[in-house]
Amino acid sequence: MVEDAAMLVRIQPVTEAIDLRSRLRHSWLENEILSSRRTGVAIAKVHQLDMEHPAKRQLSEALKAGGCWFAPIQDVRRLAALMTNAFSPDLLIDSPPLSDLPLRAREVLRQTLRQRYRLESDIEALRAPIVDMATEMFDALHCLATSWSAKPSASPDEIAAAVESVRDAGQRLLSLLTRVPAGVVLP
Amino acid sequence: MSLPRILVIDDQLAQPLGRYECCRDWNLIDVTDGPPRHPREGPPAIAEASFCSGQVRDGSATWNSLELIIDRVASEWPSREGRRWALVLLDVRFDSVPPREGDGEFGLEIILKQLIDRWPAPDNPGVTEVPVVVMTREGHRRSEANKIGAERFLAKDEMGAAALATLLRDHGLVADSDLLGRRPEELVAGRSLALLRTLRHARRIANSGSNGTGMILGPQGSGKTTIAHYIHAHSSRSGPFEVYTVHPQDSGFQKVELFGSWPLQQQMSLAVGKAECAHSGTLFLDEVHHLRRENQALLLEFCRPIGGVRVLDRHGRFPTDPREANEARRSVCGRLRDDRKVEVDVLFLSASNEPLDEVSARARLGFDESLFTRLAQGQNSDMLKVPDLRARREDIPLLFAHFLELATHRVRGRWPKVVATSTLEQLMTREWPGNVDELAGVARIAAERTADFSEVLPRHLPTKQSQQQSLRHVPVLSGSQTQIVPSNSARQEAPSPSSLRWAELPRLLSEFEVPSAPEALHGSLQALLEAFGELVSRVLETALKSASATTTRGHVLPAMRLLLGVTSTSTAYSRLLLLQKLLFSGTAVASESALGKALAEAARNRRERAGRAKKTGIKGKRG
Repeated sequence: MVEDAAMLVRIQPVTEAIDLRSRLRHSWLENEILSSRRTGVAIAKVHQLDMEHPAKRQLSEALKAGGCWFAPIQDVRRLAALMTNAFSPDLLIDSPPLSDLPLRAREVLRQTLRQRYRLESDIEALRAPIVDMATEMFDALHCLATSWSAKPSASPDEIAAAVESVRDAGQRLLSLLTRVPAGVVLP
Repeated sequence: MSLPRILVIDDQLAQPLGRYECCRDWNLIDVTDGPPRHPREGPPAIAEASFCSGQVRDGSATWNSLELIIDRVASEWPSREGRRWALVLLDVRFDSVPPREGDGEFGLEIILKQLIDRWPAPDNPGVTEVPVVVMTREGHRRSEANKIGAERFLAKDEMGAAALATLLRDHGLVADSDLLGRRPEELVAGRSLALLRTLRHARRIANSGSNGTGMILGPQGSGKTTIAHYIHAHSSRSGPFEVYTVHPQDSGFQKVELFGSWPLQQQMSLAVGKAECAHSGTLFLDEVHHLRRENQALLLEFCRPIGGVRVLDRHGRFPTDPREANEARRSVCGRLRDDRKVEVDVLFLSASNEPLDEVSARARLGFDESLFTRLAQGQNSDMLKVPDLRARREDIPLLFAHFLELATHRVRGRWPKVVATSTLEQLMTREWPGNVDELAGVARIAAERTADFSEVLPRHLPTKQSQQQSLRHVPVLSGSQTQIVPSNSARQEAPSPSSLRWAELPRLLSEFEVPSAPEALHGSLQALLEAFGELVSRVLETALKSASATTTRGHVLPAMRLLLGVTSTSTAYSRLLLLQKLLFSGTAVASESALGKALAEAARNRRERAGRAKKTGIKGKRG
């Protein structure tokens, strides 16, 4: 029972990291920010709609602090913090059949696998760029949100330029997230 | 005209921003919450869209709901107006918040377990009849979508106005009235699933590319010619729609009529066949099972494109005289391949009311197996079956209204009209062996009987018996033309005199469209004169009998006065003689009949008068 609970604790970060990676790439970046229908010009047209238009209301909500365009940035940082340990193959040692090995043998194996994982995968090297990119993404979104609610109203060109900056940052962040493993890295 | 309606099931696109973007970029009108409140800008819309997130919200939690999606599909399958979703676009991946196991499989689960169970395809219970197009970013879903019977798989990024228009054309269940630019008299009315599937199939044949081939099978009166017109209209071909109806008795003409002929003799001119006239357009060969065996072989050659083009071999010899050769070259509609052969680009359609898809029927009719394969099952060819009216009974009210409107305008009657519920009930319960043509005939009679009224009641419909009889000779709608189309049974037995309503006869004759095809005109004048003579004889006979019942002697002139509506005896007499000259010189009139006796009496009187005039030197009065 105790072993099962310990197993759950060890698996939880893996499933969370896998889910975060999937959501950030698919739901947030691909579907929301980088959708082919959401170019700078297209979003500028939405900005010109009446305040009561449902589409404009939804985008205004998304661009508020904590809105669905901003909130995932916290998840990017969380993923960056989790991923190195979450995708490490040493987790396999606690699962059958390796879990049947003597404790000493398992510890040796764990150290070896972890060392090899860190040497061979560039996951460690990815962490800092992802965090930096998250900050850059936040800045771009903040700039867009400021233009969006500016008084007097920002011009379509200004909105379009701000959107393109967000999309550019989003594209680079997507490239980085694509390099994050989709699951435990097998040796 | 109304627009086709599509259902978009997607958790992302169903959000207000997604809906707005979708409608803007795919040329749609958002009708999710009823008629749109904001005016649409940009190009004309190609469809109406209803969006469904497939999810239920409860506070901050959102989860996938199978019931919601199925209810949404069921809401317009079909709707109260008989409309169906033209397409259902389904994103297979739905994300619950917080995440749930199986979110990624959720869309496929819908298709697999629910749509197939609830709406299996009539011809294949393993797939659904709902036209589902799976769209997602995940390419590996393609094979899964194929297995479960989705019409198509589309990467989400490929979707746009043009892609959607293509999807609607090739996979959508789109009624003819949902399309722009269709004239009412050309319309294939109806919204039944059977018809919508037929129209979808027809559009696929229309877009089968250059030199495509299609065979249309269906019972008499089901609208095969109309479907052929529909295919031509959707093929975007610039050339004409040429129809050739094969008559079994026209054996000598079939080859020349279809494939043309170089001059057979010095004085003769080039004959351009239907196949060549249809260059860049469509050639429709109706009653193809009547084609003679030797001409079937020629047709087989024609339907076998050489190097991607059809080549027809004209009968006769290419003129050797340079002047005539130049003239012949100028007359060629297609491209001259050599001195005998002509290259043409033709969408070739054939039709038959015989079940040519059955081996036994082909054997019975002597229809070449290779030709059937070439026309219906070969490369770049397809076979389409037009359902009979019983298979699309739900279309009867719409069809009746459509034909009633056309017929009412034709007789300049009062419009609009209300069709009483009891009338519709009666129409729905009839058997309709004559299919759509029969219904058109009934609508025409109803239009005439209600020319001054605004409601069609059951008493305005012909009785079932007279309806069957009148079918043999009433004008029926066939595509854009009105023509008299005899039914199969009418070819075998003489029509009953009671099948025609006397008051309608002059109008029917005036509306009859004279065929332009030479084979149809061949010998037609004599046949027409004989038929007309027969008809006038019967009228005269009846009038004579009627007059003899009221007078003891000399009933010829009273009868003529009655028929001609004149009071002058001399006028009546002179017209009787004129009729005799015009109509009865070649028609045998039984001597014992009232007319025979009357004509003999008139001739005798005329001779006697002439004799008397000769004796007295007075010139007889000439009729």
